[in-house]
Amino acid sequence: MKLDPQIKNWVLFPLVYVIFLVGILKNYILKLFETDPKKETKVKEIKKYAQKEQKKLNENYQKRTNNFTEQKNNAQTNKQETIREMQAIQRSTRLRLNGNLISKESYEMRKYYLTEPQKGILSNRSAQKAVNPLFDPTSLMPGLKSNLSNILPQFILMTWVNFFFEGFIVVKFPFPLSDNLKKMFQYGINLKYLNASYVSSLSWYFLVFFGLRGVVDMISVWLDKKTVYSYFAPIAKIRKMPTSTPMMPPPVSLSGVRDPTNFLIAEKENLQLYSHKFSVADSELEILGLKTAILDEKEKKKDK
Amino acid sequence: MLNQQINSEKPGLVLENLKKNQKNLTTFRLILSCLIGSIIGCLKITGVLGFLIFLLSNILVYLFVGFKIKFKFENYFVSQIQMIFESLITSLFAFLLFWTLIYDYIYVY
Repeated sequence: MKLDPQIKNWVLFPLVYVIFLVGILKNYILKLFETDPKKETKVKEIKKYAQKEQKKLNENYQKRTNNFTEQKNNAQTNKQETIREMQAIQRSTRLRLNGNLISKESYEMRKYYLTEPQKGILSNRSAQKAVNPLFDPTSLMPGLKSNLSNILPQFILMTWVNFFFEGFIVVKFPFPLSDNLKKMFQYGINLKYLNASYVSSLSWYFLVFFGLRGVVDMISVWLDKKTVYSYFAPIAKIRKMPTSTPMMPPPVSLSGVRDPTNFLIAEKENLQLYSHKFSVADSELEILGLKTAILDEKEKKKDK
Repeated sequence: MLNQQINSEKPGLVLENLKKNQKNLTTFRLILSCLIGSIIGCLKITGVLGFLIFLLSNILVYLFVGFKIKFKFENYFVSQIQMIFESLITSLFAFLLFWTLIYDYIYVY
């Protein structure tokens, strides 16, 4: 059975073309949303802030040398405290990541220094101040945006295909399909004795959509190498526990002030849950090639 | 410093490099499956044989990469299973798309 070449020109190729272009357009639109004006100015703000801090510190130093009794500015001490806490969190993360390379003793010492319930740096702040991040509306926005940008174009395209090309036999799959699937793949075509591998426009749309997804992503990464592996997310999911904490900015509470208390508590729990195992305990023996020999001797003793 | 953190489970491995390996493997798989789909479509191969060829191509990818890194998958990817299933579904759909497209363009219309 041959199909009409007009269908090829007006349905088959346009669908591929449109879905490909929409995929790339979606990428660009997402990027538009991502480049928040806040983000660009953030670097400048940080630089300004750093300069201000430097000036303040210098002034303070002079003041202090002149007059030891002068009191510190309250706000500034607050900022300093926040910075100190952030540093403590980073320190704890580093300990969790690389802790296996130091001996048990030194690890425990550091852990005690960080997590001791009364004196430890991580437990300095009271837990009462913690705000539940679920109630924080700003944390929900990025997920909402990406969801919307995924669903909306798909919805529009599906309506378009359904409206214009309903009842078209567009494609014959080069592999056999069972007749039970006819209702799904030949939606809108009511022909009893048509081979199941002839397929309607909607199924062709879905095949193109899923087939081009990888290609579009590859090309969009190639087009702009600054979008770092948006599609290659699974590795990030696996490694989320150890790496995500230092990368993320501290949660912003409703009042707009950065509040690392949640992070402090979470980091403390993480560190307490982490099981330390000294990974280079037998390194000397291993270098000398004695490790296996000693183990063998031990086994022999056990056998006796 | 943050970009070059050492994994707790595998000391000495950098996360960025793992990601790069994964990305390159994905690109390789995608391009290969598109090409193989087109070739199979041109050759008028239908049915289960096409899927078998796709499977064969993926086994070849596994072997090529394996020979290149001397089958020490733990040193270059998260795990061997992760390397095998990395972007397999995506490349399968790309393969199906190109197979169907070329086959229909030449033999059905």
